[in-house]
Amino acid sequence: MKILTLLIALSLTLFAEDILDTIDRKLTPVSAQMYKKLINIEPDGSKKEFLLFQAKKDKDKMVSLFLEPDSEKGRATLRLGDNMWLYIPNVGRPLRITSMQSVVGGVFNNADIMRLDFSTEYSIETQEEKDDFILLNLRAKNDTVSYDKLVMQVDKKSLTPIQIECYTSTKMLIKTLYYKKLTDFGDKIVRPAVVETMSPMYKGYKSIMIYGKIIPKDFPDEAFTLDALANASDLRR
Amino acid sequence: MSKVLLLIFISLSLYAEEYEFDMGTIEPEPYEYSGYLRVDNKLQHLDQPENKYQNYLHLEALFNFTYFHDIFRFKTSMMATKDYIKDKLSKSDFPLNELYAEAKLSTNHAVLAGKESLQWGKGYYYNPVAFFDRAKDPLQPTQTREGYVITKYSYNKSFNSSLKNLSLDLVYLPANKSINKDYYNQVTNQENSNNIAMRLYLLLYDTDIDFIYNYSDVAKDKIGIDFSKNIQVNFEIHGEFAKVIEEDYSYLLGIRYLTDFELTIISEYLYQSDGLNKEEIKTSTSSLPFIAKDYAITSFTQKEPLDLLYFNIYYKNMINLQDHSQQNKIGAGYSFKNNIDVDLSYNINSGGDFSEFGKKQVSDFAWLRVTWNY
Repeated sequence: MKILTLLIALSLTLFAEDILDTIDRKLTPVSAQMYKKLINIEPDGSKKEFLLFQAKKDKDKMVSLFLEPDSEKGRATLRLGDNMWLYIPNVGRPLRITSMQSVVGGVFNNADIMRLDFSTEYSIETQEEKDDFILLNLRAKNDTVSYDKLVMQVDKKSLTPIQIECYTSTKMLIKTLYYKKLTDFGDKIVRPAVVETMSPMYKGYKSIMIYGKIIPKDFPDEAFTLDALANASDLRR
Repeated sequence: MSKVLLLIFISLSLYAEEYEFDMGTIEPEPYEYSGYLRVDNKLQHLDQPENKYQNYLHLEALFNFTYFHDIFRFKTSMMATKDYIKDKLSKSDFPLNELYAEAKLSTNHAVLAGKESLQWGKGYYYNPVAFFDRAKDPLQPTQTREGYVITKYSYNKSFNSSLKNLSLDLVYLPANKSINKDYYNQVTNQENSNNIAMRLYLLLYDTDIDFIYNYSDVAKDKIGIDFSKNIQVNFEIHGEFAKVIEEDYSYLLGIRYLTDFELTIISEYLYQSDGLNKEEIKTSTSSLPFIAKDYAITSFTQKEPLDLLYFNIYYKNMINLQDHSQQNKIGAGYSFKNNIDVDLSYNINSGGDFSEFGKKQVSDFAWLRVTWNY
């Protein structure tokens, strides 16, 4: 009996991790290039838009290149696991930055913009079947992750997030991410094209991330290095 | 009823517009360009009894252009500047910051020939290990700098281990009257020279480390090491050490700390064994930055105070630890949505009559910088 209980517990744990892996793969292929638009909307309705190219590989490598606006053009960020750097053209060598900061200002921070796979940073604490969605409570694997806890609602049909609440270690809600507009990007990628976020810390402000293109593409590991960061636009060609 | 339908239609249109993504703008061209037009206006208070104030105007234009063809990249960065003080100064300059061709031979190998700004080192305000770079201006350390004419071979390799990345640069820099004249005048004492530098970069245990060796056929060899590491997610430490073999050495230690209310603190300590002491500073006529043995530089930048997006306020202090003279700067910056950045600061040089900053002709100034990026 004890062995049976142990087996059930073990299979539940495995399934729990599996569903996070499945969500990750539904959101982006293991290796891919993407175009994203970030829009910061201020309480008076005024907007600032950023256009980004991103290259991703495996669970922990990502390069972002700003294409617009002109004031940010050529800026590039590199994420290798917990390490993040920012390269500003003309200024100098890439500087180390943190996931808590925001290279664009507004509600999205660097961790939101350069999001790694959820299963890289989080493990599932609890999983509940609700009528309309699966509810996952996720706990950060280490203290370098920017949100200590995530409460994720997952659409049962598409196995993609509907809503994610992000909490600090003191259980303070930092922001809520809303995943919207389920879209077929081709190559069997069907995921929400829009991520909207609002934060009680930025009352009246809203930031939106729109995915324009997601294409599976393999990159060499050397594309995700400091030396290559100044030439990040090579990855688009 | 028709009004309700109209309202629904308008709100649906607005919703659609909010999520609109024009894919036509994202196909890469074989070329890229960027740059800025900038105006710096300094209202200067002079440390002299007559003509107490003067207006210093600096105009600057930067144009970067890169052309991509197959494995080749051709890059240029050109600048034009104009400095003007009524009845005192009217000077134009057209530096060519960069002009090079680079060939990416494979994933791991690349060669470059031409003028490039290498920008070695980890310090924000000063880089002892930047053997082949022009010095930073401590008042504007992020300013674009002119490179030197070099040839460079680069090797880059990634690994799946505690050593995540290794890269090696081999650089050759000739210096004589016609090529790299500044290096010829300032570093190799007006002797024709052949200079080689090797830089080995490692990303080891999540730490950036550079080992640098510089050989010259007329000057003494130099060695350097630098590092940068996040010891916490919001706390970075960095340092540099450089030594001229059998002669002087210099080092820099620094931190960068981000509070949970988005105040960034950067603090650096710089020591140079051949720097001037208090007595030597009194008689020095040099106007170059970093003449003293040691300095401490600290800046505080508050991002988006009072929830004002794209706005920041800052304070910076630079103290000469030999004569305790200081340079203080307080200011604010705002990035407009039309690619215009505005920065306004108030700067004071203070100290005893014969101290480094106390001797400055300009005792304090208000500085307005407006930059239009394109």
